[in-house]
Order: sequence, then structure tokens, then C-alpha cells
Amino acid sequence: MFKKILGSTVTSGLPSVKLLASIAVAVTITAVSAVSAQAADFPSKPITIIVPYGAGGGTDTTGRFLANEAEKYFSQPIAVVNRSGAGGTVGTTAAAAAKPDGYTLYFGASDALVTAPHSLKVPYTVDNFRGIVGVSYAPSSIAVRTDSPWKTLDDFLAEKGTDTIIDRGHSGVGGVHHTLLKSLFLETGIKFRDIPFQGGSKAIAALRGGHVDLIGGTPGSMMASVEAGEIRVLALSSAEQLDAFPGVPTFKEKGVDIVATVEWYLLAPKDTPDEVVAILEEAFMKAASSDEFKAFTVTRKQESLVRNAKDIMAKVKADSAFFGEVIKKK
Amino acid sequence: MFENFLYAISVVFLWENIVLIIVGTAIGMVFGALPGLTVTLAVTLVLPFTFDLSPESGIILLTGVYCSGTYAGSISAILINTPGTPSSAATAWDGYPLTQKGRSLEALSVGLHASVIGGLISAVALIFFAPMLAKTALAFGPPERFALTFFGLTIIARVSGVSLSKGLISALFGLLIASVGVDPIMGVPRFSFNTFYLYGGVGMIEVFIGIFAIAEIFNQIGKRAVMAQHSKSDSQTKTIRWKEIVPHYWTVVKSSVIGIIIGVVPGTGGSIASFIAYDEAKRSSKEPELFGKGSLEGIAAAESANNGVTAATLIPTLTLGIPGNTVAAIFLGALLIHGLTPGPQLFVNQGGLMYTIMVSFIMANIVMYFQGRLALKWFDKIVNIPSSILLPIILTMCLVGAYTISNSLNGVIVALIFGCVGYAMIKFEYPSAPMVIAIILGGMVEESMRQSLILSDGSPMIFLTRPLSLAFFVLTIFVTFSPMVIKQWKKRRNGGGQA
Repeated sequence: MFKKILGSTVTSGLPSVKLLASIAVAVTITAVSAVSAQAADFPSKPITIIVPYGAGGGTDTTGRFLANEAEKYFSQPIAVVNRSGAGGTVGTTAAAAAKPDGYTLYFGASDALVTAPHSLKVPYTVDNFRGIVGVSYAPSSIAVRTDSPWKTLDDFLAEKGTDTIIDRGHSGVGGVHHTLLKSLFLETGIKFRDIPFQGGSKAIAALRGGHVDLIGGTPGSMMASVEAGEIRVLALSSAEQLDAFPGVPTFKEKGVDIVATVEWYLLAPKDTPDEVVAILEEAFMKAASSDEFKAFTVTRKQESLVRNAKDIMAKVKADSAFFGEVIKKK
Repeated sequence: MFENFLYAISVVFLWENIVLIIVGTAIGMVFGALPGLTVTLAVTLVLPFTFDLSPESGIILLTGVYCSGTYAGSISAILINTPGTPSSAATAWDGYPLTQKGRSLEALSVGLHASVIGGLISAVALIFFAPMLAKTALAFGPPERFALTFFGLTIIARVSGVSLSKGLISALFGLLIASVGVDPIMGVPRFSFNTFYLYGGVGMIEVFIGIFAIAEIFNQIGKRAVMAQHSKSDSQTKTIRWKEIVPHYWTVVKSSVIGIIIGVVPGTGGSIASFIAYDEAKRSSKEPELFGKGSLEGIAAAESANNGVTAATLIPTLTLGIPGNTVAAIFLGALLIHGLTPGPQLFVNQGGLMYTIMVSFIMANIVMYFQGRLALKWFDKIVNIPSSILLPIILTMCLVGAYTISNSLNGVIVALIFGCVGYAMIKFEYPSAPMVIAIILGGMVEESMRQSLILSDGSPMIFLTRPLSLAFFVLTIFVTFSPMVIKQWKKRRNGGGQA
């Protein structure tokens, strides 16, 4: 019993007694009104949010913060459950297969949903989900050491047609940053060796230690090294320049047609009823727009951008199509 | 520097921060000691509570959890043959045999003292060497990392026990397990049998729960052993005493230094440190034959090394922003939430906070020592519980633990399969230690080797033309072949004398 209580605290982060009590209440209520799960009553039991990554990481803490903020607008508690494993595909599969009643939601970031289905055999695609709210994004970027001969993106693009082979590092095969690099090098025809690392911070260390020439990754994670004068960000993959990186151009401005971002969003299984999604959307939009939550995403090196259910789904589908096309090219 | 140090002391000794350290170490000890509940999990659960605290208090609380959680992994390793954390795997090799001989309290005592000393040495290293060591960490590129992890693999030969061939078979099986999952370089699934659960590889903790704990439970049931027979445990040592550790002080110091050096290299962590320290202790020991059968020296080496890693692993985390292990990654997250960006500037801009971290490491180890002394006597009572009651409890804990890691039944299935594998290995006398080392190091060895070969266009010369990498390979050859050469040389000299 002790372990069981501990288990619930682990997954929810709520005081266990409160949670157990609410589960007990929820069970009773559902037993009574099992048949008529009417949208008017929603939510009549605790809501679960599946996070497909381990506890403590960037996506997990963001999801938990969002859940905390959103609880203010519901009569029911929200439990965050980590279903980690296999680069997020385990948790995403579970969420795609969940009962579409609005009580099981999915908080994730781009890789598992928009790139994994194109490179791995997983039982879901973006079409298994529908949007609730998009909360933030982070662009990708390319960076070099400060002592590198490439001072600007143009210097780098001038390597087109030369025999220079560039050692390029990134955070892992098939992810957003790898796909961006792939697209960039394919488009320009610059020669390269591809060195994947397990995680963005290792790629940054390898760049600083002089083990690779160029890396792709989120500019936020490179901030400290940029401030220390060790590395230089050449270009961003966002649609517009970022305030935090004054003077750093976007690829688009420089005539390279690449816009790719990592998005953080809350989704539901695709058959979730419209009325339920509308209730969820309203509450989570409020939560995501709160000053506290916005401030939190900034500390996690994300750019705050709240999108409604329709917009985020359009973005996710567009990203999936873009990444799918790049990944298919060999 | 001195001002920052005084500031740090004044912060750590505020009464509310002292309370936080005491609470933190207590939480860490419980999580570390329960199989399946990891330090990472404990730190993650505590993290939200630090949001409302000042950055200093938040870090102090996390430090307490981290230090004692790392230590407490040795308690379950010694008492029930289940390392609470992967870095205590080496502790189980000697700790559990001692428990079976009724000397559990001695083993626990050595484990506690070695951990505290290792942790303190590590904290001091963090204070004095952080900015300096950070530069060394950057020199570790793929070839150097390969050389280091490859050096770690050579230990397999010496933990194989009586039969080297059985040890190698066990290690090869471990490497096979480590190769399951999505290929780190090409991104193609291997041995996943079309279940995406295996895309991320076979879960390490789940395997350990199976190989160590569940296999041992099967074995106990098979032998119909009554654990209560070990109840003489109190007869040899009644209290936790410093005396236990005194003969091993040199091993402890040496192992702590090994822990610090390995802790500084990002992405290696406590397990490889404890393996290398264990191996070095065995190599230089006067009684190497006791290792693996119940050597206090082995426990001292493994525990001081993995606690030597604790503070040292924060060196690359704080100065480079590269977490050395999962706990360090969460520390990183905690700093970010408080608006502090790790990096070379952190020591310049946030000197006071940096020293607070270091002083809180020292405090956490001291508090952990006294809590450990109080708690160990109670933990030790576990060995007096009859096995008919204890085994089902442990089995339940193991299965719940395997479930909580990814909140899915898959983990339980993996643990049970490896429980059967482990039981077969016990029955056919295959050592499990080489397999465990291979599973932990296999992924790192493969990734770094393939990265290096991409960089060199396939030429293996890259491992020999880089000085640090070459140095590790020379060390590998020396450690592997020196015992044989010395033996031959002695034989020839003796033979020459007779002729």
C-alpha cells in the first residue's frame, strides 16, 4: 500500500491523499453516470496528460507547469504521467490509442510526432491527433566556433562547390535539428561528414572542443557559449529574427528556403468530441497565456507563442509534411 | 573567492537551509535504498518544490537528495543484492556475499564511510578545480571517449571469476543486449522485433532488477533457504565504526580520485567510475581472491568512487552546461528555472551561488553520515526477516519498481525475463558482472567508436594519433598484460635460479 501511494505521488505530483480521494470520488461518479458522458459535465473525473519523455526534462517540466496553471479552470485535478521510452514514441503511441473522451491528453514536442513516423515504424501519424493548444516553440540554428573561417552564413554558403568537407554534429538521427542540417546540405550541395550525438549539449561540447566544425541545435541552448565568446550562431531557422540573438539572420532572409521549428503542444486523440475539445481549448488557452507560464517557457529557452486548436494542428501537419519530404531524400 | 566562501557558509547555515538538507538527505536515502526508485526520480519529484524557494535553498535541497540517494543505492545492493542505482552494481558483488556470511553491518559500515569520504573529497575538488578541470573535459572528443570506455571494458577479464571463457560469453551477451534499439548513427532499429518499445533499447534498471534481485529471489526459493539463519549478523559488529574503514584508507582516497576524474568527463557517470576503481583496488590488493566473494575493500572502492563522482560531475554541468549524468541534467534544469544559465560565465557572475553549491555538498555528506549511522541499524534488521516473508515483499517491490520506470508493463516483462536469464546464469555458473559492465558501457563504446571512424573516414589511426586517446590505450594494454608479463618474468627468474 505504501508503494502504491508513492506511485500515485510519483505520477501526479499531487498530495497523495487528495489524489486518492479524488480518484475514489471519480470512480463513484463514473459508476453512477457511466453511460451519459455528456460534454456539459466535462470534466467529471481527473484528466491525465501523457508526457512521452522522462520526468525532469524540458518537455516534462513545461507540461507540468501548464497542467498546474490549467487546474485553476477545472473542478478536477490534472495528473501528468510520464510514459517515456524509445525517443518518445512509446508515450505517443499510448496517447494515440487512448480513449477519445478528453480525459487522456498528450503533451509533447515535435520529434516524436512529426519526424519519427517518417523514419521509424510506429503505429501513429499526426492524423491520429487533434489540436488543443500550442504553447511555445524553439527554432533550430547552425553554429560554429568563434575562430572558424565562416564569419557569416554567406561565408559558409560560399563553400558550395569547393572540396571542403565539413564535420557537422547534431543532437541525434532523425530529429528536427538533424533534418534541418540534412535539408541545408542537400540544398547547397556542400560536402560533409555526419556525426550524431546523444543530445544537444554533447554536440555543443564537441563543437567547443574542436571535434566537429559546425552543429545544428536550438539557439537557446547555445546562449551561454555564445556569451562566453566561444561559439557563433550563423543563422536561425525561425520565420523571423529573435530578440535574444540580435543581428543573426534567418535562413529565409539569406535566400535559403528553410523554416523549421520545434513546437510544444497539447493534443488529444483524433476522435475526441468537438464540445469537449472546446472546453479544453478555452481553459488551456487561458493557462498558456498566463504571465507565469509564459515566463516559465522563457526560462526553458523556448519562445512563447500561444496558438489555438486549429492553428497548432495546421502547424503540426505542415511540419510533418516538410520533415517527411526531407527525411525521404537520401 | 574568500568572500564568496564566507557568503556560502552564512547561507548554508541558515536554519531553514539546515532543515532542507536534513529533509533532502532523508528523502534521498529512502529513494536510493528502494529498488526501482532511483536518485533521478527523487530529484525530479523534489524539483517542483524548489520553484518557490530561493535558488540557493533550492540547490541545497537537491544536493541533499542527490548525495544521499547516490549513497543509499549501496544499502539495497548489500542487503538484498539489488543495486538501488546502477552505480552501486559493483557494491553488490561483495556486499551481498558478506550479508550471506552474516557480516552485513560491517559491509554497510564500510559502504557508509567510503561514501562520505568520497563525497567530501569530491566536494573539495569541485571547490578548487572546477574551472581548471572544465577545460580538460572539452578535450574529450569521440576518440578519447572511446579510449576511456574501452579501458572500462577490459575490466571484464578480471571480474569473470574462475572461468574467463564464461566471463566473455556473459560479456558478449551483454553487448548484444546493449545493441538493441535504434542505431545511434544511422537511426535504424536493431533487434527490435517490430515492437517499438525496444526502439529505445532494453531498459537498464529493469535489467538490473531482473538480473540481480529477481534471479536471487528465484535462487533463494530454489534453495529453500531461510534467511533468518543469517541472524548472527549482529554478533560480529554491533555498531557502525570508523575502525572498519581505516585499513582501506588508501583504497578510498585512490577510488575517490578515480571517481572525480571520471566524473569530470561528461556523459560517463558513476557506474564506470565504480567499475574502474573496483578493478584497480583488486589489482593492487593484498587479497584479490576475496573480491567478488565478500571483500570489504571492494565495497570501499566502489562506494568511494561513485560518491566521488557526485560533486565532480557538476563541474562540466556548471562550467560547460553539459550534464555528466541524468541527475546533473535535472540540476541544470533547476538552475535554468531560476534564470541562471550554466556556462563559463557562471563562476564570474554568480560566485556566491557557486560556492553555496560546493559548501552544501560538504554539509550534505556530513548530515548523510549521521543519518546513515541512525538508519543502518534499522536497515540491517531486514536480514533477520524470515525469507518466506521477505522474498515476496522484495519481489513485489521489484516489480512495482520495474513498472514505475516508464509507467508500463513492458518494464515488468523485461525484469521478469532477465530474472529467468539471471537464474539460469547462477545455475550454470556464468558470472553476471561482465554482462552488467557490457550493458552499461556497450552503448557508449559503440557510439564513440563509430563517431571517431566517421571523423577519420574509417581509419583507426585516429585512436593512436591523438595523445589522450593513445595514453588510454597504452594504459589498457599495460593493465591487461602486466600481470601475465610479471608472472612469466617471475617464473623465468625462479626457473633460472634453479638451473
